[in-house]
Amino acid sequence: MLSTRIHGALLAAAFGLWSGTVALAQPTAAAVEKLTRASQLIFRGTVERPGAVNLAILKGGEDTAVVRIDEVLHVPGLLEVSRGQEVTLKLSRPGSFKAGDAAVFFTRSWLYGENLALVEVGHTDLGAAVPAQVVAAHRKMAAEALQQRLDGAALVVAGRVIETRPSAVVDKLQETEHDPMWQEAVIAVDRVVKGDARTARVVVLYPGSNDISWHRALKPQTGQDGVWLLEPSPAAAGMYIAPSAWNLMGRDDLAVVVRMVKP
Amino acid sequence: MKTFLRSFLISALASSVLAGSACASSILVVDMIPYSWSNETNQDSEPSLAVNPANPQQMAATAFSPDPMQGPNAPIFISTNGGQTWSTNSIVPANVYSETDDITLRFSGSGNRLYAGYLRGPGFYKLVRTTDFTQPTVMTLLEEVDDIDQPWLATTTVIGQQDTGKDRVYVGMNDHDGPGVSAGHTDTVRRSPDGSVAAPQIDPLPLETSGLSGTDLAPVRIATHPDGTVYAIYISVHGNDIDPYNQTLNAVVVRDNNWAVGAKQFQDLKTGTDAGHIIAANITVPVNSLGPALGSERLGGGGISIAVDPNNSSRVYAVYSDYPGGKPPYTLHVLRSDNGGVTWKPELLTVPNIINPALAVNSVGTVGLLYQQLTATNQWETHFRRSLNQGVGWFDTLLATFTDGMPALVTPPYLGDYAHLQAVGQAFYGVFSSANYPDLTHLPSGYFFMRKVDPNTHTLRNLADTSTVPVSIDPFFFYFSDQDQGNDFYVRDWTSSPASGDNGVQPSTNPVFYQTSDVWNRRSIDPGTFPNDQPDNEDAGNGTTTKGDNWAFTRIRRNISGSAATVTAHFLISKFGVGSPYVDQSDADLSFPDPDPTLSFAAGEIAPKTTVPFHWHLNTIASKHLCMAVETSTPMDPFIGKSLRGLSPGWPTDLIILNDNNRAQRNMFLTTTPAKSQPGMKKYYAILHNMATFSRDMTLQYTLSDPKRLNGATWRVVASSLGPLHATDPLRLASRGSIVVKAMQPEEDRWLEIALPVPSGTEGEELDVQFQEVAADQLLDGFGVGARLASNAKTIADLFENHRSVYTRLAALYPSDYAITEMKAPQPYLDAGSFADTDYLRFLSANLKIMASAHTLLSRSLVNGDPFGSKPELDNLTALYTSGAPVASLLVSHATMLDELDALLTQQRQMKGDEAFILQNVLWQRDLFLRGDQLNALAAAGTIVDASRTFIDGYGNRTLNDPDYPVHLRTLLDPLRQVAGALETTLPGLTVKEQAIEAAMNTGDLTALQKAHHDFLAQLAALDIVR
Repeated sequence: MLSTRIHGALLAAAFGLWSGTVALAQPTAAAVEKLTRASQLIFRGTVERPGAVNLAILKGGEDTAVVRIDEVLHVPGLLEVSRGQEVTLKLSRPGSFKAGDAAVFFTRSWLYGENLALVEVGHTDLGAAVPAQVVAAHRKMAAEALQQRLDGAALVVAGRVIETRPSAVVDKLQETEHDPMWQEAVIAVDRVVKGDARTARVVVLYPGSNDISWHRALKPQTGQDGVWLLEPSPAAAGMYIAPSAWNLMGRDDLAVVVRMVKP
Repeated sequence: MKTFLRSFLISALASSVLAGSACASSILVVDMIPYSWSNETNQDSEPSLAVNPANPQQMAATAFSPDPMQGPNAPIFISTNGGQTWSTNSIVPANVYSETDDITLRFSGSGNRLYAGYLRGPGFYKLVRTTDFTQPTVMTLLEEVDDIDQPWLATTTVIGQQDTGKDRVYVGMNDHDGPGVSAGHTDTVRRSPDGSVAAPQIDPLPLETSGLSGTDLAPVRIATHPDGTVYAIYISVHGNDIDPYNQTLNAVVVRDNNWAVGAKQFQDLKTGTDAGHIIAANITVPVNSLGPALGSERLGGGGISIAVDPNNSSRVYAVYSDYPGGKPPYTLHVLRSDNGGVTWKPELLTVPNIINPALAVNSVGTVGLLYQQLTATNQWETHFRRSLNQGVGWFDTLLATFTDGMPALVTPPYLGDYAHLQAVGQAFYGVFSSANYPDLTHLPSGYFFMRKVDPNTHTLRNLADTSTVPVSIDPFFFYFSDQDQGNDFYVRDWTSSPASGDNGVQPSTNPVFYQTSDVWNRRSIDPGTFPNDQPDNEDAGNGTTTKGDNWAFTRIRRNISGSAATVTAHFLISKFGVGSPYVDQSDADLSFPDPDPTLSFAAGEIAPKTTVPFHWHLNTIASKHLCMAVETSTPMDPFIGKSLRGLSPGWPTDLIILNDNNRAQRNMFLTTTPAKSQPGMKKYYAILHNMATFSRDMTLQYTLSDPKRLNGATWRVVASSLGPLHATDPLRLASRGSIVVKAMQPEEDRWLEIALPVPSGTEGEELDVQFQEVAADQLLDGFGVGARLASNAKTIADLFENHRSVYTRLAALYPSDYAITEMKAPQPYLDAGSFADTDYLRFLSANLKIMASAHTLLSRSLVNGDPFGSKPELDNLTALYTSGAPVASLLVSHATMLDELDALLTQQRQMKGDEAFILQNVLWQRDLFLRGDQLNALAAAGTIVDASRTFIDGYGNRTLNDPDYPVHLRTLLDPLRQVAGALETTLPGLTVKEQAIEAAMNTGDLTALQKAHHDFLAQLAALDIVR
């Protein structure tokens, strides 16, 4: 009988996935997707100095390495990461690399200092298909997120805002700087994708406040047109809310939305 | 520091001017956005800062900054080098935008736990904690509650009191579902008695008890004092919630004397029957976010702050802000109370058009005030003001300035609804948000940018240096200290070698801060040499005339040149061990005939200098096993807080030696033993004193210097000052570990016996065990015992002196011809320098029987016998001598017997009381009547507590002395009689004990008075447990 350790190694090799040591084979799409879902920054890199760090706040050891970024495969947000940049990696398996080892590193954020420190989620070998697999995984994740929003919406309509006004039905909280200053937007509906097909007008409650708590919330403007993913308001019966900017899609996306809404 | 971290001027002569006089200061202003995030343009407003009081090099901060990689956790800014450089670590569970709403951070008092209280989204409050803020582990959720606004955190760790080690956690907030809502009040403190445990108990405590209703304003600010006093300030609102101009607003301060863990919380300061004191009534505060603004900033009803003097829990400062007379400008007002909030001195400072006031008081009582002001020329100025005279006069330092709207407002708040200021030791640490222009026009006190800047064009650059990054609002850290190094004189706590020693950092970094420190004793006016750059300490001598004469020395230095100064050194003595209080007044044991020595430093002079000999005398009855301390001061560099007299490091609250480089102590007991391996064990004794005002377990960590050669070492507790104690069998000491001494009563002394083998080695070598008292993961105090290996001749010389010393004590305390004979017996040998083996054998031959007779006489006078076994050891010595054992073996046995006899004499004396415990008696008395629920309820409690506080303050300030103790008790005779009368049924015999105090008072015997007072308090303690 194979030892557990060898058995595990063979399984990992079969999937092309290794979370914690050098990958042994071409990774599968499934393996890359799994790592991508847990990662933020994904890059192809070369281990420069095992055991070292390049942030003064850290101490090097068996579980660290300084790695040179050779190619950025995915970076979220506005972070500036470029080829040739050296980062500190906290290895998922101490001592698993030697200088010169190259791999695709799947990482999540740790420290931003004079350099970046990242936590290794896992790594694969340098298979040529990996970049495309990473892109595909992110595309799939985006589609899933949209599907989740559509599933969670009680009403999905295409329409235009014809009026905004202060809300008369929700109390103000005068003594908080986070007073949402509730407003109402009236949307003239021209197509119902999900929900009561008879809907012609819908009232959406939204925070008029631009306070830190609300500044990223969707703030409908008169004349604004699009596909609205609406949820029932917990505060006012018959009204809806659209909590985030993601609850409004362009009319160009209507076909996609129609296709994804489950009957 | 890497060269890419473009540094501009960091440390400067601050523009601090008061009445035309300049003051040299140290200041550091740092833009905290990290280099790797150089393209950042977020509006990073509303900052918070936490400096670890146990290690001020560690800091954490927050602002409205999202995770740069849009992860699920928001970042905190972290520094491990005192704020010189910063990184971010995304470990706070965030909202979908990778950020948080309102957030504040604080460290525990010890144990390196970092807490964050924050809103993950509108109203969704969370309290989280981490034990290592540098690691990527997400902070642990402790609780979450809805309908909360502006959580504002205050934490500390109890030291030196009941519940030592527990993290007190307080989160002020506006709780719209809180316990006061049914009565129409919303301001609340969520309090945990111990946030350090896995699942902390957390209780919501309403602040207002009045019958008037109204939704309070959001901000609640909290200040804690190490003695358990907790203050909070809030703005109560009575009236119409919807119409902010049809309301009555009051700024209210509340106080709790006991950590807000008693039966009623925040009700120790009252106006009539209502909790709290209204410091400003019927004020107008712009509270509506739709309403008035100040430039690009909204006015959200903040503008309050509170801080308590760490040296005086009754001295508290508060800030509130309003529209004076109901009209702009929005103006801050600073007030001070010297009596715990009962009365206030108003308008110590007023400043118009301000936001974000933040107060702090440092260890020498300097008040710091941070605020941001919009000037008439539309400039946002960030000011740090400080007062050296309790708010009468204020220095002003301009930290930052920029034009309102440049950069443009992204979202309110522009700069924040708060900033933060914290004092640790003598330094102030603060955080504020401001525009990130990298030039001296905008940052006139100097600056340091973590992010990439072009020093030539004074512009921000992206990481690749390919484009200019637009100006935005960044968080700025600043450090300020009046204690510029040129005026910072210090005494070393330790020296390892000529190249390595204490550099004055506070708190001190070496846990063994009592062995090689720059305070030492000599038997002559010669300060001695400095082998290895360490003072050559000599054991004290006791006796009449020159035999009891000793001279204390200290070595003082500064790191950089400064102005001419005269440093005063004040020496104190305590019994050997841990916990025993220091004394600095002449008593039965010792006297201090000399005035405090002074040491003059010329301008520019930095080299270490040694004080002139300070003469002190140890009387015949006193043991020479002592600890010595020094506290130094200059007008510009006073020691922190009150004097060490009557106190011990760590008790009741302060780490007093470690935290103050003006103080040092020496606490080491080495016995000269032959440098040849011998059978048997040499025993040492140290006093463990419970300086607390409650029963507690004392934990000591220990380390053997050479585990191999000291293999077989043991410990046990053999005696108590409170009566018979069942001594345990000796327990083995490992190479390192900890021991716990259980259930020590207040003021109790216990004797720790440490038995060490006598290994061979080289002459001059020291083999020792270091013991350190720890509480709440915090080192408090320590001592060392061990052997200094020497030739037989040197051992004999030291033993003769020790023999003379111990029998001098015996002859003085239990006079007999035998004791007097033994006192005198070594002198001819000492005078002649006769230290050969044959000399020693001749000495034993002539004196063993006399020693035995002296012991026999002594045994008739002992209370509870001899738990140290000095007589059996003398019998052992006699048997060894008779059997012709080697001289080295005889010396080990003889030295042990002398130390046992010395400990026995001390123990017998301690059972009768000790003047050194006078202050502890009064501290105990205060705590019993302040924190014991049943005693606090007695009518006399207030009078007793107030009188106790007066004595404690006076004793610490050296305006009251031991002779004032009977005066203090005399003023309390009626209250104490009332207490005894009220409790006689519950505590039979209490009246007799009270009468014993009166009797002792009339004798003028302070030791007897201390004992009688102790016995009275001990019986009261049986009734009430002091928390």
